[in-house]
Amino acid sequence: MIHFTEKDLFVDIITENYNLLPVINRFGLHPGFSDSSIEEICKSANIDIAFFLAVINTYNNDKYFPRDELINFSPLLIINYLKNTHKYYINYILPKLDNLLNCLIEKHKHSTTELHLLKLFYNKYKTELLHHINEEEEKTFPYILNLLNNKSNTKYNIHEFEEEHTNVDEKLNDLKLLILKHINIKLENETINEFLMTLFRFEKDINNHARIEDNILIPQTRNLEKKQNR
Amino acid sequence: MKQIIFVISRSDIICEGIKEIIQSWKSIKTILIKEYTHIEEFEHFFNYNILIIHDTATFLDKDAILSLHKNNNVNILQLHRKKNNDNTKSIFLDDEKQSILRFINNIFTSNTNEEKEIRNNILSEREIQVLELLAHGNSNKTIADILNISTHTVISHRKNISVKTGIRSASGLTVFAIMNNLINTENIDPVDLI
Repeated sequence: MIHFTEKDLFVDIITENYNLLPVINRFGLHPGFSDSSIEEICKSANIDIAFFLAVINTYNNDKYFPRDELINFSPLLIINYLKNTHKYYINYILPKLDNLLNCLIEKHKHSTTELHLLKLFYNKYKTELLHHINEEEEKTFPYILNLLNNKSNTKYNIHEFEEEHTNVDEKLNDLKLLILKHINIKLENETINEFLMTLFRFEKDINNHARIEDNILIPQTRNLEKKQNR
Repeated sequence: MKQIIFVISRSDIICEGIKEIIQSWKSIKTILIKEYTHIEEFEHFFNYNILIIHDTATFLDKDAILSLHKNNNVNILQLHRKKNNDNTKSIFLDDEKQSILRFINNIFTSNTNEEKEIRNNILSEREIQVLELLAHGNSNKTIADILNISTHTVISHRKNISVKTGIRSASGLTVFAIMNNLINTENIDPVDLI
């Protein structure tokens, strides 16, 4: 498994793993890399190179998780990254999954019971996910930022976040398996494949997202709380 | 075999009350009969698994249900308004809901052992029972009460079901149950279940 360093050509990131395209987007970067190195591109875009590399390598390699390194980055950097990830989920992934399901229902008007069930289940998952994201953006992140700036804060405690950080991924996995294992009708190949592949990619991304939240952001916040004696 | 429950009682309270209790457990078709003669309307029923819950305060002529007996598998559960010592196939007005459901469940399962259509070969009969109750939104404790097993056993069954199907969430299991015709959704909107 390749490990990226700052002297590597930026374009190599994508040729090595095209699933990293959405990840680099979160840093405000997009194609047109010419032969610039990662270092050059990050510098000209004012991006923390070490942080960028840590994230890229974490997403590229399941087994790689430089906890000690990541925990030393400012929570601000991490929160901004997580917020951009949320935008990607809300503005792109969820609408895409919605459309694909609706497309399937359109194409299979004569046998919609199972599809209807799947749609209901998916909607339940979507609602929970959106609620979770909303809680993070409205409560958790502002709370952490206030801690960081030593500002007065709500009665919120990071412990609450941990309790709410339920296994939303459990339903995502169930959705995959309901289709892969238990469905009893034949669905139009191209559309259901597209749906499943989007689900697989999304699952991988959100697992990495959760890794960062659970293993970096929460401990960082606990440390900040301790400093303030909360 | 398709299941049907007849409740024979002049009392609206008893009829509606029992129907409500049954529907909270499973969506079995439940027909309310105020006068035993109305049973004639259903003489044509064929090959059903029928449970008649008979309020003993309402007269029932046994002959009226003879033809039902001929063509279907019929069981009668007596509902007594006052407690007596007759426990065989009897329920009482004061009985707790779980106890009533346990009775009904026993009658239905003991009759369907040979004919049970286990549409899904990977789950055991007990696991299917647990799944059915789970899909109807019952808690572990309620499931344990109705099946007369411990909560610990219910949890154990749930774990096995999850391992066998790969599905972990309760709503996912509900979708699985409906997809495999393990629960009857004629009278229930899946929206409420999932």
